[in-house]
This record gives sequence, C-alpha cells and structure tokens, in this order.
Amino acid sequence: MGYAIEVSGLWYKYPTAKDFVLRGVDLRVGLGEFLGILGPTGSGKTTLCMCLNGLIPHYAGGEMIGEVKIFGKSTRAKTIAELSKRVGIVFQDPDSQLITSSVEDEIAFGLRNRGLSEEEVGRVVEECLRRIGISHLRGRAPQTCSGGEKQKIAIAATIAGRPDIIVFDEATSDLDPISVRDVFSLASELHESGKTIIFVTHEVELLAERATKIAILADGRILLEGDPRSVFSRLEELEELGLRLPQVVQLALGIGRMGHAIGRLPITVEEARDLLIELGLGADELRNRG
Amino acid sequence: MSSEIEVEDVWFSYSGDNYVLKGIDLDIEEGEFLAIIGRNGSGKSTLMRLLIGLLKPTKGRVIVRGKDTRSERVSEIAREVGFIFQSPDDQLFCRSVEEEIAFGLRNLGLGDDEIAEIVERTLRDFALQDVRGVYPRFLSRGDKQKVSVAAIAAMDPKILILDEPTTGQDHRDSRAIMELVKGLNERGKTIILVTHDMRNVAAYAERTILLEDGRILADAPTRRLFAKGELLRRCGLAPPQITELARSCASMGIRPDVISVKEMEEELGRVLRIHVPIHREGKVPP
Repeated sequence: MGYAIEVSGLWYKYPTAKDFVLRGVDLRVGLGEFLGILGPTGSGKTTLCMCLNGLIPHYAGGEMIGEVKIFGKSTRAKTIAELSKRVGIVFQDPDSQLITSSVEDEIAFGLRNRGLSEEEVGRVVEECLRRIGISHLRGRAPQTCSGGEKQKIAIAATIAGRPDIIVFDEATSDLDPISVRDVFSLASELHESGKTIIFVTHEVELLAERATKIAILADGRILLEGDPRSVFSRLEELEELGLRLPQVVQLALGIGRMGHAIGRLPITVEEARDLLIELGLGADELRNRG
Repeated sequence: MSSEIEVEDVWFSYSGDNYVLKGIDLDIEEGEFLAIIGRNGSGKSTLMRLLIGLLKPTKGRVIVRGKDTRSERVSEIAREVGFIFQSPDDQLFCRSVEEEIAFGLRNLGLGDDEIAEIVERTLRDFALQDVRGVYPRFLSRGDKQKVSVAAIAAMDPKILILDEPTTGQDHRDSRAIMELVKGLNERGKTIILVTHDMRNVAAYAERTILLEDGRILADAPTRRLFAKGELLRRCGLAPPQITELARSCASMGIRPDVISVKEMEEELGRVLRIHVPIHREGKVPP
C-alpha cells in the first residue's frame, strides 16, 4: 500500500514565535486510511493540518525543518494551488473559510477557478448541496447562516473539489450532536469511497467507531499511534494528557481492574453490551424465559 | 425559593412575521442549575438574548429578579445576569487579567479599595494569581475562558448564563471550567448553561429544557429527559454513550436512565453483584 501522507522529522516554528510548535513529528498515513488525531489544546493539531496542504510553509512562513510528502511529492516542491487539488481542509472556524456572498457561489468558487464549464459546476454544486443536506440554503449569504450551517457549507465547498485527502480540523465543534454524527457518517462514506480521511476531534466515542487508526499528538510530537482499541487501552498515558476515553472504554477498564477478564477491549456500545452479557448480564432473564 | 426569571408566553420575531420563539413559558428558581438544549436554529441563542435583555419580546414578557426587560435598561439587567460568551476572545479586551476583572467592577461604580479587594479575592478563587499581569489574549484557550468567567463572577450577578462555554476545548479545560461553574452554583448562583455537550448536561444540570422550533418540547429533570433517547434524536440531539449502553441493556435489568459511567458501574454492582472501583474520570485533575 502506498502512503497518502508521509511526515518525517517535522519541526515548525511560527514567524514571531519563540518556540517550535511541532517538535519532530513522524507520521505515515496509508492510502484510504481514516486517521483520527487526538491531543490536548495547544499540542499542534491545527499546525500539523496546515502542513498537509502547504499553507505551511508557503503561506505562513516561519521555520520548517523536515519534510511532508503528499502522494510521494514534497510539499516544498508544490504550490498551495496544486496541493489543494489533492488535500481539502475543513477548519474549526468556518468564518475563516467562507468568502463569497452566496452558498452556491461558495461551493462553485474552487470549481470555477479550475476552469470547469458552468454546466459541470452547476451539476457538482447540486450534488454537494444534496449530499450535505443544505439545498435549502443555496441562495443565502453564508455570513447570515448559523454556526452549524456555516460548517456544513465549508464541508460542501471542500468536497466539491474532489480532493483525495480530506482533513477535518475540529470541524464539528459548532454543530449539534446529530449534525456531528452526520459529519462523521459523511467522513465514513468518503472513506468508503476511497478517500483518505484525517479527523481531528475531541469526540472520542464517534472516532472509536469510525477510525481505522488513531494518533495522539502531544507537545508537538506523535506520542502514540495504532488502531483505536490499542490506543484506548493506554489509560495512564491518555489521562496524563488530560484526554478522555470513550465512556464504554472507561467502564470496561474499570471492570478489568477488578480482576474480571474483559478480553478484547470494547470500543462501541454493541461491543460493551456483549461484554456485559459475557459477564452474566441477562442470564437470569434467559433462565426465567427458558 | 423564589423566581429568578419568569418568561411569560414569549414570542419573538426578528423580521415581524417569522416567529423564532413561539410561546415560551419558563420559571427559573433561585439556585437552580439549568441546561437549555436543542439543535442548531431551535431558538436557544434568541432565548438567551431575551434573558439578558439584549432583545425584547415581540409578545409576552421576561421578568428578571422582578425587573421587566421591556422597560429596564440593559445595564440594569446586566447587574442581575452575567453572560459568558462562547468565544472568550469576544469578551476579553483589557491589557492584563487583573484589569479585565476590575473593568466590570469600575462600571458598577465601586470604589478603588473595594475593587482591589474583589480583584484579589477573584484571582485567588479562580487560581489566576500567577497570570494576573498577563495580556489575556496570550493565555491558552482554557485559561482565557477561565478569565472571562472570573471577570463576570467578580461582578457578583445572581444569575450566570453560559453560552457553549466548553466548545472546542479539550477534556481537561472543559472539566476545569465546569467545576468552576459548579462551585459558583454551590455558592448560591443560578446557572443557565446552553450547550451541545450532553455529557456536561448529564454531569452538572439538574433540570433541562429541550427547545425545538421555538417551543419548549420538554422541561424535566435531566435524568428523565435523557432516558428518552428517541425524543432527543428527533430533536437533533443524542444522549451520552453510557446512557445508550444502559438503554440497550434495559431488558436485562439495567436502569435505562443511567447518565454517568459511575452510575453504570453501580448498576452493574447491583445487577451482577460485581464490584467495580470508583470510575477514573474523576482522576483527571480539575
């Protein structure tokens, strides 16, 4: 399997800053991976995202050591415009991303810049509006939409460009819980259609269900990485960082500490329910019925 | 106990025709810890602005500690209700943490000695002594939020309204803010928390108001409301994961209205007679 993203020995310092924000990040993301990134505030998550589409170093300046390769090509050798065709980013603050005066134009913006015919632009815009469920907003000015709606518009505009890698940088923080789930489902759909997904979030429960791999970023380095089950079993390290485990994992680890065998660590509601049944939950009901 | 806020058949429209709020009736008692939940666009922000007098009802009335918001000045209502913005950057503008806390007190017309005394006490209560001289914008997001809560709490309003105080914050910071707010509630403040974070609602609010399309769809003890998973989902919300687990085990003797990991552990102890240690969520330092 080829790598979609290869980050090697990456250090980065903002132009006026005293200290490096990224302090030796090494990370390989396979083609078609759904990577969740967790980390405390200030650990460098957003900075790392900006390195993926060339905003760092091309736009932000500063001092960058090491290398980021997207599909085998160094970001230093590519322009932001070239990189943005491969890597789409949805940021936490949609206001930083929305620039036009109608939702339709917002989604069409990148497409027109690439010289697509108006007919084709119209078709893609239509599809994106429908997919994100915001067809009713088409004529609205993005600035007059609610925080949640703006997030969805930014996501629609990002997927319109059909990037191979889609980065969600805390893109669900202004959304209500069902919309948060919708965005995770959408990311899963995109993942299933072959896209590589990078999802930065504090929503550990949803991430556990969707991600193929989780990386913990702390103090500018990757502290842990692996499949969700193995990462979430590292209770001490995660607690040390002030990170939260999914509630069903907290429960299972509590049961395990009492000497009950928990076998495979449950990371979803269904798995936790199965564990409780193994421990004897429902046995009385079965006996009574049987 | 007496009513701190009375909302009587309040209707509100920005444009004159489309009503954003449609007949809200709400009585909030002194010392309550109340959460307001609802999907994006359900009317939460509008209701909040009516409670602090920034908006006036199109029909009906809002009485805050005996003061009708239609006739009182916003500054009068602000003495009674402190409002904490979602983004601390919208709230912080002074050159130091100390000045930030003193600012509101000066506006209240307090004397210099009294201001100095309250600033000292607030810095101590919120553990901000070490950053007293720091430019607030240079603080971490979590500390900025702490300063905005401190600056409002220093003015000693009887009621505090918090608009998504923990959005975008990591667990440690989110918990620290919520514990501060809990402390204020224990000291008698009435707390109104508007949020999408259902875990915080479950952990801190005794009563929860569910807004949907400008109406109050439910007004109930949080536990009872969270046991209604279908209703929540229909309104764009979802109960915490542990509640979902409890509900999925309800046919096996587990109470369906569990709202925390600790309660689930107690349920397992009761039903399975296995003993589980006190859960570790509490070990993350506040």
